[in-house]
Amino acid sequence: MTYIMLLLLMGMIMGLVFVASNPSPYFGALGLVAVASVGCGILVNYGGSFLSLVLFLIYLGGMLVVFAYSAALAADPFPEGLGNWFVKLLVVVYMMGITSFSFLFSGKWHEFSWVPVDEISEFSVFRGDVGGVALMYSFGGIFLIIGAWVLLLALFVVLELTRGFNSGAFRAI
Amino acid sequence: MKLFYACSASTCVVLILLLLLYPVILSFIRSKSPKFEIYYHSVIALGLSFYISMMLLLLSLILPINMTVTILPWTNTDVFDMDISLQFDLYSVMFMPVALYVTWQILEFAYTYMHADPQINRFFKYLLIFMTAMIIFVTANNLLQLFIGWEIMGIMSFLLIGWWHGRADANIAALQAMIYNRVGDIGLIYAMAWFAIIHNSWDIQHIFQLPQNEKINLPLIALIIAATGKSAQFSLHPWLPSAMEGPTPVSALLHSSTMVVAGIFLLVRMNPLMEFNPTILTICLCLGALTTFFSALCALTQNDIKKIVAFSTSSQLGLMMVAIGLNQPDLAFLHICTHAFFKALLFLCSGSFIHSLNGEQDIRKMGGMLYLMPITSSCFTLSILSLMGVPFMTGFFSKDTILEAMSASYVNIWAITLTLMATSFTAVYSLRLIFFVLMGRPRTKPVSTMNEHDPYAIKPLVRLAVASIITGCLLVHYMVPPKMPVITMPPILKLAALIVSLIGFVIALGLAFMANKQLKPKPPSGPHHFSNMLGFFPTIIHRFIPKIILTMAQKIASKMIDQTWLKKTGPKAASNINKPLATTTSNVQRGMIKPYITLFLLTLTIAGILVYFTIF
Amino acid sequence: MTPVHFAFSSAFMLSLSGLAFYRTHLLSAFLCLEGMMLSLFIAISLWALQLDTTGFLTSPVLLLAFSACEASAGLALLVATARTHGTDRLQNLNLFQC
Repeated sequence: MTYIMLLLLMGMIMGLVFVASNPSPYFGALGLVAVASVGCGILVNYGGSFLSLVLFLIYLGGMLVVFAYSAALAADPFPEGLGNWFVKLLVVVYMMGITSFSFLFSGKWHEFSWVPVDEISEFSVFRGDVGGVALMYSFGGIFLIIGAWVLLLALFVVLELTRGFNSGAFRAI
Repeated sequence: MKLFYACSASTCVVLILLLLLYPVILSFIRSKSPKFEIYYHSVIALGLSFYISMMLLLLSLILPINMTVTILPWTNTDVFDMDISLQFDLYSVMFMPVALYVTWQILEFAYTYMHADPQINRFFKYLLIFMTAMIIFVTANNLLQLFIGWEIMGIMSFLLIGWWHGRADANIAALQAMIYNRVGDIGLIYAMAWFAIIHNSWDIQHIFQLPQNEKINLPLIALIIAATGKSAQFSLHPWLPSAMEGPTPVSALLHSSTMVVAGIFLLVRMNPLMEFNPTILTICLCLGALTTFFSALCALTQNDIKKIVAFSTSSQLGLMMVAIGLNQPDLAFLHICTHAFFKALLFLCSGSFIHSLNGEQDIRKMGGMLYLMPITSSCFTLSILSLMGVPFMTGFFSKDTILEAMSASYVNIWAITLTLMATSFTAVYSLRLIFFVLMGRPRTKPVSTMNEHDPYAIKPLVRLAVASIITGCLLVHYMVPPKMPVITMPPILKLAALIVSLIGFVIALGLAFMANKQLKPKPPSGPHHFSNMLGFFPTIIHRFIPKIILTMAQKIASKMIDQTWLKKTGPKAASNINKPLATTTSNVQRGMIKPYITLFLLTLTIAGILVYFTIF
Repeated sequence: MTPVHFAFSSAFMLSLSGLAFYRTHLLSAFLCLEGMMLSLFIAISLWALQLDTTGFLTSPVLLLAFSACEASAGLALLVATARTHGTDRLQNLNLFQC
């Protein structure tokens, strides 16, 4: 389990290194998808199965699909993936930075703590996080309302930004 | 008896001063009256002054005493006394009548010459103030009084040269006179400061008690510089020919007969100091010889009648300086006195010609004056003969004596040669004047308005002409030269001055007749240009040195120091130091997100590292 | 510091530095922002899970909602930029001008 966890953590860092090293948006979105998937795995390993599910469905399924679609707007005629020397250089630089930072903390790796929620090490569907999230509907109702309000506001913001003949979908051809 | 002499002499001088100042004061009182003419008062005052000074002269003939009279103390401090004191010796007693007589005639002439000038009252006032200063200078017994007279003369010279200040040339000439005289004044002030510091006295009789050693060379050289500036010796001479921009009576009075000899007079006064000082005497001798030669050389090719006369003045001043250098101050003084008469006459005659020709000064446009203005021409010829040193004219007695003394002494042969050549040059340009102005046919404009009916214009000329004939004889008989050794010399030396003058005269006569015919398409240029352009001296001094100074001011002071180094190390340095900082700071804060994010990342990293080193 | 802490801290820092340096596309910048959001989400979740305080597990969900708002606004800006400027390449992202 520990090795899988380390692998996942490595995958997260690697994915973000790829995202950060300025590839074309196609490949950037792909990297972020990978990171989000790996994040789901980490959360599952910690016992947050519901959170993992929410992350997977909403983040990957909802937002990142939109991102991947929007990549078409920012299309490059010559997409730069890992084959580009500049991206490679940045990847190497970021890797070196991460490695040097890890040397700073390598002496303290003994504080391993993989204690999951409910202290159950097996996979299970109904864990404490289900109840925790459900609190949103009772004690956290005010937060629910605020969140809904914020989402409504975001809707209007988007509407205002893309309204009209200048910046919206209308085109005068 | 001495008391009587002192009292009467002081009274005479005070009377003369009061008489001279009386028209000036009167003009202040009656300046509103349009009929007031200062001229009559001035001439009467000068005539009376002349007679009073003659009384003084006669008195000193009876009682040949050198005397100083302290009239009243001026300021007395514990360590330094200044009195108003007068000196009555040969020089002052004899110079006063000469100067007053010449001034009297010139003022009388000036009425004719200046009658059309609206400011004629002020003109006469200036001349009277100048004469007062001259009397103060001549009779001064201490350096302060001497300096006061000296300075007033300088100021009056400035004002009178720039009399026609509407003309740029006159202004330039006035400024030149002022600046060159200031150089001389610096010498006099230096000498005064030296005497005050070292000897603690300005009294001339006290100063003569100084020990004669090398230390005294410094103030003596300063005095020579003072005389060089005032008497237009070589290197400070260009102001004198330029001063001819003033009215002719001014040139006659100030710049030929009285004021310019003040420098020589100063050296004559101070002669007991330099009597046994061969260095100083040699300097004087060489300076004088150079001046007399150079000025005579420049006079050879000038065409302006006043310029020629001015250069001859400068040449005669050089001759006086030579006499100083020969250690014969009495001869120098004798030449001062005789020169005053014939040079004033020469100038007045020139002025008469110029006035009659409506301001024409070019001798090439004169000619035939002999027939048109016979009296003036006769006086002109007389004065020129006197200037050349024709025997038994006034000039002969002083000039010939100086040259004799020179050729009999064992001084610098170079100086002797130069002086003799200058003497022959005197004959050359004198003949040139006579030939071009008097002889030949008139080259003037057709309408001739000249006449000699005005008695005010003729009387002074005649009086001065008489004086030019007889005064030399009188003065020589009065002055018993104490330093003149009884000498015998071979005839060739005795007649040297006459012979060179005669040679010059004959050559000039030949040249003058030959010069009518032009043999070459262009006259030979080199030596002629040297003489005609005044030896290129004013060009070099007035252009080259200011140019160097201005160039250095521009390049070193302005461009290098001010505009480069001070700017670079001062404001520019502050700006250059601060600008990169400001640029960097403001570049970050131009409202762009990326720098802010980068800064955020940077601070986060630093904070993380700090936290790590603090905790772990 | 555990490896998982190190992992999400460095993930945040990587995304931040990716945002700060060498962005050519506005979308790439948004992707980096999303990466930061993701690492924050994981960090808050792990905090609540590891401390067994299930009551705080609502906060990651709310964070996710807010990040959805941010992403929607950002993508709307992207669309607007692409329409007005023709491309979403950004040179400086000036606050004062477009």
